[in-house]
Amino acid sequence: MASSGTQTVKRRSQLGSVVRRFMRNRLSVVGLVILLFLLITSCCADLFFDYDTQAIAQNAQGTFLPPGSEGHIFGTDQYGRDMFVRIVYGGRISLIVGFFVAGFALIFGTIIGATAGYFGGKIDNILMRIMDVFLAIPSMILAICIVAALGGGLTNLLLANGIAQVPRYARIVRSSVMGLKNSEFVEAARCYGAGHTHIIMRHIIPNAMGSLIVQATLTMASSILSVASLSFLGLGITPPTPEWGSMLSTGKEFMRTHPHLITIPGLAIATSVLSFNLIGDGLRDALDPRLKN
Amino acid sequence: MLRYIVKRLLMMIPIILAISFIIFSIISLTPGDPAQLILGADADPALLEAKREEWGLNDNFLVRYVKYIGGVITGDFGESYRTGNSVLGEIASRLPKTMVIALGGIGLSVLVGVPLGLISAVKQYSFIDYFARVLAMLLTAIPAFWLGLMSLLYVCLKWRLLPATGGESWDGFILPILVLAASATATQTRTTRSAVLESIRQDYVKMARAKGVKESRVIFRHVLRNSMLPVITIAGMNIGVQMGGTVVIENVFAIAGMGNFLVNSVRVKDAPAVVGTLMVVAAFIAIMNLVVDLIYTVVDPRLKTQYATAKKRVKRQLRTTT
Repeated sequence: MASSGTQTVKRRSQLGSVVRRFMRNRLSVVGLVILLFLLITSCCADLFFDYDTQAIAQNAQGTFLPPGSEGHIFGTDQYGRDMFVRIVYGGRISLIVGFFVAGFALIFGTIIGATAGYFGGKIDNILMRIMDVFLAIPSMILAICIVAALGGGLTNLLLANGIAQVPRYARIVRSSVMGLKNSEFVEAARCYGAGHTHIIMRHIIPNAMGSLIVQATLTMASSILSVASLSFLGLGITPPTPEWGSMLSTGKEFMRTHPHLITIPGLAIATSVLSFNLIGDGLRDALDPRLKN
Repeated sequence: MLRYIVKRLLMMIPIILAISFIIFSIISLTPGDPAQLILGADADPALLEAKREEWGLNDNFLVRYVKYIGGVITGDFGESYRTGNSVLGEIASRLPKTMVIALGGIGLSVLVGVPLGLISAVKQYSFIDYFARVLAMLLTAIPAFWLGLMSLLYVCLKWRLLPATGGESWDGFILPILVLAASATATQTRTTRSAVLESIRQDYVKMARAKGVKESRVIFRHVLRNSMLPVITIAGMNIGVQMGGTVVIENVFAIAGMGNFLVNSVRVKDAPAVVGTLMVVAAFIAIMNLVVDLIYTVVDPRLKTQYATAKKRVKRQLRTTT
């Protein structure tokens, strides 16, 4: 798969063997298919639906239509808006949240963790003690405080969740950097005159990538959950923007008479979180060198 | 050992002080005026000014922080801007409810997750293993607040089995604990399963079987005991997650606990209430982590030597310096 040349056929690339091992895990492939489906529907949503008229505009005639009604597979909500369209647009927010939070935490966590682990001493002590303070507060509660201080909205939610996740990555990166910084290949790199940045970026980080990728998929899942919870508490994305957590929050008043207002967004959250978790599990096995055969 | 415990407890102080400073600055240095938020947008300007003066909001940020922390050291956590009551009193009346839910959730997750993970690993690839793995996967994916709403809808409103508002009587705690325990049970099951699978393949297990030890004794004495460390670690890590989870659960079941207090206070930037609550939560988590570390030594006596040597080292140092 990865070999484009004609003479390198015999050598299996590392990426190729990871992909092969991942594909052998049926549940992870199911997760990947669900994720691709979510990605495609939320990317192409504008081709089929109109955001302002279908996801936001209220329609007094067709409120509380049950799922399976004509023209509305998932029914309509208390304002007569099509649930399916809102779920699709809500998926867009959840995916942005997942990828951005994981990316943010990965980048800043790597910078902090690598600096602390590589240079050690005082720098390590100062950086990690700061991280310890953040780790002492549950990430959900930290995110609540940051969002409350900065105000709601997507950008602030992303920042709050991203900041709350950084210490975890800093710890992972730091421990693998400390394990690798005295290894022979790093010493060799130092001998031919490589700088600190080069050694960290080219020799140490790639070796820690496996556990970071797995952690990142799990962060995507947990940040989708956390943003939905914050919106549910009224501290995240506010109505009328379609977001799964805030749909649940506004729908809960009507849950006795129209349970589909809360079952459908809940299932959407659970499905997307499940897909990330399945992919994470598959990647962990695929990247684990002990399971190589 | 005692010296170790005291040392750990003393180490909590700088961390909690740092937390108070960070949270205090996050709340105070961002735009938004508590007086305006509490009294409303069209409040009388004179009244607003009087409130700001009363709460010391016109002072410099550092002055306010030093005043606040000075009070905390003498046991005065200040008054909540929002309710006007003493923060310590508010916390004292709410902490028990939150503790019951959080500790109940942890306890339940261990009681269900560990046996389920153990059976799942001992009977690998059986029906029960398959069931446990699928259940664990689903429970981690389902959001707690959704599970809470669904159980509220069916168990309380449709079937009328339990009261809908939690925290008033003992049966009001059943659903919150069950819901909170769900995802922790999943992680507990998964961790136990993989830990048991790891130790079940060790040579000492083969050895025990070879000498004819009864299978139940092999599992409980040789396998389970040696897989306890990761299991306890996860239970300890779950404590923090549970404290975050109670915030949402208390909101769903309308329980007047710490989480509820925190969310309502943070909305109006009620700094004494938020910082006070968080310091108590952080202290609770730190103490629970210490308890977890002490349980380690019970499960694995080899770890006791670490503390003992630390003690001896200190003694030796004292002897040489004096």
